[in-house]
This record gives sequence, structure tokens and C-alpha cells, in this order.
Amino acid sequence: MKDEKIIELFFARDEQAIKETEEKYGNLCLYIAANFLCMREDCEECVNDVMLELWQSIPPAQPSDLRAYIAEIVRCRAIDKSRASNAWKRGGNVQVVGEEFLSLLDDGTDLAKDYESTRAGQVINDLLSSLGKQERAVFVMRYWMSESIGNISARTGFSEGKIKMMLMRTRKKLEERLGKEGITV
Amino acid sequence: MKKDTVFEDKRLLEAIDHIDRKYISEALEYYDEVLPVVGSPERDKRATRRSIKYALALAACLVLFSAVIPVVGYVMGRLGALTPGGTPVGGDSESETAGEVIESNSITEPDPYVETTEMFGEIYPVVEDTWHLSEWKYIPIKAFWYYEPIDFSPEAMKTYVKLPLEYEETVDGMTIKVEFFQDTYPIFSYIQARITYVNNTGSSLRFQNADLHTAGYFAAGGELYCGCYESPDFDFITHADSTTLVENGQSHVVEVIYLFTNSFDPSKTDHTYHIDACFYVPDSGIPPEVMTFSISFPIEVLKHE
Repeated sequence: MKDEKIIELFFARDEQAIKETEEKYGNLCLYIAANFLCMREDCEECVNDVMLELWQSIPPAQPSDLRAYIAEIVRCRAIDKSRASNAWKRGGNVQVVGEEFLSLLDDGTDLAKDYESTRAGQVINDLLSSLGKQERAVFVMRYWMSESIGNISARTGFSEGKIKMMLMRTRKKLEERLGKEGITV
Repeated sequence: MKKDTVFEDKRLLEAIDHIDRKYISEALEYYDEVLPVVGSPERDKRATRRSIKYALALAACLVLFSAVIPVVGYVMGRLGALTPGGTPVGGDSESETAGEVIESNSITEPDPYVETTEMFGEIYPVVEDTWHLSEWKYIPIKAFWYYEPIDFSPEAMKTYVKLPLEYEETVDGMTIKVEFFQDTYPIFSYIQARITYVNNTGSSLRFQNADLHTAGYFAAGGELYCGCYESPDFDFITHADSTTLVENGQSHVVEVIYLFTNSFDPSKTDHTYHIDACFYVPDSGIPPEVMTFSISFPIEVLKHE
């Protein structure tokens, strides 16, 4: 079923919307959740939470890209659940930025830091807009979806060495851009 | 020397949350295939199937190349026979004269192929279609890509890349020596480099990979296909990958290739070559700390008028 039709079902408060969403995007949700959570049960619970949140948020939300919208919610809920269960510290399946995320958990944030991260977010988006589609996708897969290098390699067909090199170059560019913006890392 | 630290800053980790949805949507296109259920060994099976698919494609390419090489050799042999065979590269006066002309970028003879033959002495046999002169190396950029016709016309042989035969630089204790050479592939233009890393950083490091590239391929949104770095089909010859442990004081040698394609555009390409190499710091945790050594140097693209 097309996304537009699924959204229509949500707007009509038809529970079929959940079934159709699960059928179409259930595996994607589980896949993304598994990048952040260790246990299959946690992943399934996360997907249930996501379905509930979709039901509650559409309407009023009317996402133009349902798949990306769902992916964002899955990621958020998976990170929340992971924090709650302290899965980060157990290692889990967080193969990319887990250790770095730990520092987030320990420190909390204040307004100045929020402002900085928003600015840094703009810099990242500017950088992404200047990259080729492949570099951009690899960056998002790695740092946003927390995918392993091996999985990115399997998805894109690039060798692991090439992916590491692409990421290294993108990080280098990001560092330069952040420096120009006065955001020191 | 750069460590893999950018994303250790928590503000940047938070900043990742602000990535535009359109880029997320774009990345999710790679997930259009039916996704395996979490925890299923299907993921590994899919990776294996993909590897087999690429291996078969690679084998097909090799068969194709081996069939094409004799034909190309014959054609190039005929072309070579039509050009005057000059004298071998030799004395200083010859080198200086040729060097002056080249550096002025003002070769105006009507047939650059013949002109080049006369100026630089012996044109190497087809399999080594490269000119050596003093400390410089001239590589003709032939229009070629594996699925398109090869253009051996004099017009296509007009553009050259001028490279140093050797280049050496020390970065944070790592000496990187680059030697450019050309081996035995006659059917496409490329730059092959042998890179020797001499580790005097004071630590043992595990070599991961290295490559040779320009920054130009970013410039034209993927159109500019200068080099095979972006091509999975040729990935195997572009990178040097290993996990060799290079003790302090020891050296490690790798070879990389930069392939010119028919999209190479001297006017757009950034005329700087970069050589990057990643080394792991052994036993530094999971993921291991990565050290990157990068050097850059200009090349010169010469266009015969």
C-alpha cells in the first residue's frame, strides 16, 4: 500500500493503518532498533512503541515522507530505551558511536550547549548538501543509524576500506567547517 | 596526523539529531530490499550472496579484459609503427630543451603524438605508454572506460599529467615515499604509485588502508569520474588494504592505482593529489584508535594546443 493511503487510514482513525505500516515498515523498524538495542524483545517492544506513537501523532502530523518519519521515531525510541536499560554500557549492538554517546548520558545539557549543537547540526547539513549522494548516505547510515561498517558495505557494495576512507574524509571536512564556524571540537 | 575524534564531542553527537529528513530518506533508499528479521543469520547470507555476485562480475570483467588486450595491443602496435621511433631519453641538453617546452605549455605542432615522440625520445612500447624525462613523468590521459570504446586518436592523446617520479614527505614521524610507475596494463590510463611508509612515530602501528585520489570528484556531483575511487567495480585496484603490523623503525610498502576515465576533465579536476593512509593503534580499545597520515602535492595537467 502506498504511503499516502496509509496516512489517509491514520487520518480516518482506521486501525488498519497500523497493520499496513507494520507490514510495510516493520522489518525496517526492527532493523534500525537493533542497531541500538541488544535484545530482540527490546526491539519488538520499541517497534510497538513506535506504532503507538504513530497512531497518536498522525494526525495532526502529516509527514511528507512516511518512511523517514518512522525511521526518526524508531531511532529516538530505541535510544531512549537503550538509555533506560543501560544497554549502552553493556555494549549491546551499538557498534559505532556507543562509547561517545555515553558521554552524553553522563553530562546532560544546558541551553548554551543546545545552541551549539543546533549550530553544529546546521554545519552538518550544509556539509551533507555539498557531498555526493553516496558519501552522504554512508555518513547518515554510519552516524545517524549507527550501522556497522560491515552492514554499510553489504548495503552499498563498497569495500569496508573504502567506507572507512569516505567517512574519514567527511569527518575531516566537517572538522574544517566546524573550525570556520568557530565550533571547536 | 589526525585521530578519529570528531564524533567524540557530545555536541556533535547531539547535532547528528538535526540531520535533515531528506538525507535520512536518501540513505533509506539503500534499505529498499526486504530487510531480514533482526537476529536472523539472513544478514550474513545476503552479504555472502552479494560477495559471490561481485566475484562473478569481476571474473567476467577479467575475461573481457583478457580478450580485449591482444586486439588493443595489435592496434597500438600498428599505431606505434606509424610513428617515428626516436632516440632513448638521454643527455641533459635534450632534457632541458624538452622541459622548457613542456613547462611553457606551448607545444603548437599539428600532430602532438609525433611531436612528443620526437621531443622525448623513445615512446615506450604500448604496454608502457609513458614518457620519462629527467625527474618528471608524463602520462597521457587516454579516454577510456571499460564499457565504452577506447579512443586512441591523436586528439585523445593530447592531454598529459606531469608527475614527479618520486615524492617524499615526513608527517609526524611517518615518512611517506611515493614512486610513480606504470606496469603492464595497456588499455587504460592510470597512475600507479608505490608508497613506502617508514614508521618512526615511536609506536607500532597496524596498517589499515591507503589510497591515492584527487579532491575533484566531489566537484561535479558525481559526474566527474576522475579515478576509480567511487567505482565498486574497480575498488580492488584502488586501495591497498591489509592489517600488517608495522613496528617502530620498520617500513611497509603498498601500491595504489588511480584510473583515468573518459569523464576526466582537466578544467574541473582539482590538480592536487592526496595520499591518505590509515593506521590502527593496536590494543587501543574497541573501536581501535585510528591515525591518519595524509600528504598532498600538486600535479600538472598539460594540454597540447
